[in-house]
Amino acid sequence: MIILMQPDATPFQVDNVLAFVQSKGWQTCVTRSSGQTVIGLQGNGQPLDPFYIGQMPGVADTMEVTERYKLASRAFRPTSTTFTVRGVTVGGNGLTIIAGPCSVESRAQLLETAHAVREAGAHMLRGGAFKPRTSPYSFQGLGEKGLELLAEARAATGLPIVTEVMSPHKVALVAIYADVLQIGARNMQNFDLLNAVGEAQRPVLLKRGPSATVEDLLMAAEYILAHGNDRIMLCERGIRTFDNRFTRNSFDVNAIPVLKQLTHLPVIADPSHATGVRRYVQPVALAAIAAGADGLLVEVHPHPEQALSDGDQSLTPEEFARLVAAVRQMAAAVERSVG
Amino acid sequence: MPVVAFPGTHGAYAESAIFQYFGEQTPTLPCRSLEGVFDAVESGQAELGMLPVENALVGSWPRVYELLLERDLRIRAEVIMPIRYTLMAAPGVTLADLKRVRSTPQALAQCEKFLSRYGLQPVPAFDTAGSAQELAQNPQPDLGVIGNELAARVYGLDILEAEIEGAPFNFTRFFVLGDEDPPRAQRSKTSLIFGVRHALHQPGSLYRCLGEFAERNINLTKIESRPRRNRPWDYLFFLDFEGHWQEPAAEAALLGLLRRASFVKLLGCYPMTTTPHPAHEEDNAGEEDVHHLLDL
Repeated sequence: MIILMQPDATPFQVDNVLAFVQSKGWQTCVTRSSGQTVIGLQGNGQPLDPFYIGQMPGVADTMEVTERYKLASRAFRPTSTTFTVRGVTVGGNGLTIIAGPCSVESRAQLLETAHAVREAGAHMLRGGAFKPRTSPYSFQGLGEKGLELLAEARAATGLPIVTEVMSPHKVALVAIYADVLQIGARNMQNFDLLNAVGEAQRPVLLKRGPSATVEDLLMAAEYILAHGNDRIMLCERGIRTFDNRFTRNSFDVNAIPVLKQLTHLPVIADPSHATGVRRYVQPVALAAIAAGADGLLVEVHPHPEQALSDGDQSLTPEEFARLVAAVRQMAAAVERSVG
Repeated sequence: MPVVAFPGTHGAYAESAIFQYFGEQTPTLPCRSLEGVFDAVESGQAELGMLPVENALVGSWPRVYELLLERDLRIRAEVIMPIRYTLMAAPGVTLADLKRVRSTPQALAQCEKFLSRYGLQPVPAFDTAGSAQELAQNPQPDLGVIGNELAARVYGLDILEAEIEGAPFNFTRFFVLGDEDPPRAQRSKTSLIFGVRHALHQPGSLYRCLGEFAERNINLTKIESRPRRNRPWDYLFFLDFEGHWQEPAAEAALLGLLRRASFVKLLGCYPMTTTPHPAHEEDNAGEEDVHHLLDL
């Protein structure tokens, strides 16, 4: 249930409503939006009588949240969530651009990419140390060595780092190095991992599974939110459809405005995995911004032809710089900014 | 539905707190003592326990804190319940018939004005619900009991007068105890016990321990000292603060405390509960500044 207080409700009245619902076993989540206090209830409290609560002094209205994803829903928190990661703001009017190689391959490759993407205007550096690969014989990532290199790249460029964590027992290790923990598309419904990342209280980049619905994605975010961790970016990265002849996945551009309506969490688009083809990355990136995305996740490699993974979809630093310039124009057209 | 253990007999205030927090349908398990509640939860007879820890007028239940130190259950929630005293008697007995009133010393003290107005003699007893049970089993025409409305219902006693306490701010805080920690809430509170290194006899040890919280702008909501049982004139400190141990400031303060204290035991992190304002109708502008904790 959500309780909307009257705009002129006194702190005493808000307190009394809080005290009442808490005494019935509910946890409360209080937000103020345009001068109005909104009390969201979470947990497993006793059933409450909406008429009784509606009669309490200062209460304007009560609403039942019918969506299964409660904490992620806009009804629960009407204002969009924004947060900062090492000084970089995510959500709000500004767009967040995250770029870097698919996997960390070597010190030289990573540092070269990190400097190049920062020059071009990226706000955060991505790079995989633990790689979820379809084949067990593909390159599996550098592991902890990769994390150390990411930390070195952060020290050299000041860019916060985003890296994937694949198993619950590695969360503590990855959290030592990473600023944002990425949950990969294949792990979107790994509920043990979601719980572990929720408990780690670090910002999270949650990627949509290739065959997950929008609601599945929101339910996955709900797991993290249930631990009181609300620093979550949702990421549309393409879904599996009948046609994968010319692109790796089908970018679900619909999902962006739909998510923006359903949830208060920021939405990031990954045109690299969505298309899997270098030349389609920029057009799809622009479409995502036009559709209302709050940022981009783009793969950049100094020498894509030598990349150990996802070379076909990685942009060169020059191509990435052109993409950022185009994104700036598109952002201006939809009244957003690129910091 | 989980079984919740409580100290006392059916109709006790702790049982009311269970019904208030978990709902009237919750199965309850009465225990003979505070230890009994810990035993019941540890042995799996009950999933959770409800224990009184502090009354807004008379202070703490020291034994509960000793048990929290000795045993290893975690605090899952705090429950604030308004305490309302009801005067009850055997069916048919009226207020005019009464000469004596039995209840706990705390209850009798808080209802002193009422008792003296009607010339009733206070008779101290061990617990309120137990007094009601005894009166129901052995009805006496001149004896009343002060207790919980629930106790009157449970034992079929007549309510002669409700809300006879002199104080509107009478709340008791209970802890819900269990095996696991609850998920983190938007606003949490943390409870812990620590000892200072008195062996060193350094002036200011406690001051420096508390300074770890003050420096980081962490609000302490309760501090209490209790004698240490294994060393005369040495004390343990029970402390509650606003925040969750996983928040960076709280984590740093706890690390600082660990360095300075002789030991630290974390009793639990649980959602912070708001206490109602009894006089919410009065819009007292002057008091609003005092209650700025609502500035969210």
